[in-house]
Amino acid sequence: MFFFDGCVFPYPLGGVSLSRFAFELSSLGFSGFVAAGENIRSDHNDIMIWSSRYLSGLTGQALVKEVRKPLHENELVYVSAGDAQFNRTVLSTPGVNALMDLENTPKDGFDRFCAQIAGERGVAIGISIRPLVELKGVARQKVIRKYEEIFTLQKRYEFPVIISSHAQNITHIRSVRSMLNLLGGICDDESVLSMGLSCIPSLKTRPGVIREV
Amino acid sequence: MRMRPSMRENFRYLLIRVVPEDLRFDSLDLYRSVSDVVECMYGDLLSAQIWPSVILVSGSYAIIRCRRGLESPLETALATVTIIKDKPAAVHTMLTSGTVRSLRERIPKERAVRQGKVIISKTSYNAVFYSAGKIDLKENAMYHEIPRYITEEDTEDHYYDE
Repeated sequence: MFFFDGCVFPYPLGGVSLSRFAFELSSLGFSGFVAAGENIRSDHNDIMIWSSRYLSGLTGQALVKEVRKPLHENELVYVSAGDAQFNRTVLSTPGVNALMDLENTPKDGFDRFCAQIAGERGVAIGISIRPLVELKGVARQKVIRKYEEIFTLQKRYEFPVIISSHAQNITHIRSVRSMLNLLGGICDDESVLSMGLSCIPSLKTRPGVIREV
Repeated sequence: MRMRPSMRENFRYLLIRVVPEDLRFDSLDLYRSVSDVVECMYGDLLSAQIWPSVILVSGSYAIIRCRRGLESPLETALATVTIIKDKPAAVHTMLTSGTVRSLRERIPKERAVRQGKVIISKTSYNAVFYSAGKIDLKENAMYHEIPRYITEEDTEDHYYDE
């Protein structure tokens, strides 16, 4: 089974070079990762490298324009989440592969209507382990509750989930086992978590996506 | 309290690797970080049951002991370590075993660390070289113009200090 880290931020967005990320993630049990940013080389020997266009702070036409730009072969489009209305718009926009940063959304930012749209269109929902690792106390409890809601909705509407470390530094990276352990306390369905680490290649070929020929 | 051998606790031992590799710490520093995260995640009751303690520190590797059957919660808590000795760090669990000896054997004997310089974009930076081509640039050489953690692939040239 292939295990992908759903999103890392190599230099210049973080302090680690792409080849060092490839080296470290490969030693921690990953067979690939998605690197946010432009001009990402995907020709590393040991590990598959996909790139992502990580869009945040864009609304309306600007977002649609950015999403419609032509993609490379192994490139995905991630959009940072906002309020419920924005999320519904994003999930309905053709070409978006995943909605990320749901832990930062306001209350009810991701409701059952959003979940239904995500399930129908096959848009993935991003789960980052970084807030679980870095936050403490009440802030971490809020994130856990939000992720619980997402996994409950996932069980009902069966949208894909992407698990990522959101690593910008070498100390943010976690192994496959650590990620599964951390999320194991929130979601008791191991198959959902395993799929969350291995569904990246299928996001490009999922049914229902409108693709330009 | 002294117990009869048959009544003694059974323990499990975890081999861990701390990153970044140039972080220097002793067993007390590591114990403070580990007990902090275990307590924060599980509270006093389960922390007491897990009973984590640091057995050995060797470079960036360490062996941590816990009660048998509770190694999985400890492993989860170890994934949330972010600071050791007031410096950003992470802990990766490598192996779990019932004896310290088997883990000791798995700690790499020779960890060649060399000081030197790398050249990136025609500028020379102080660096620490690790095995398998890993290079960490020294903090005082950083100007946010280049990544701090790189490999030999990212350099134009590199040479070691004598």
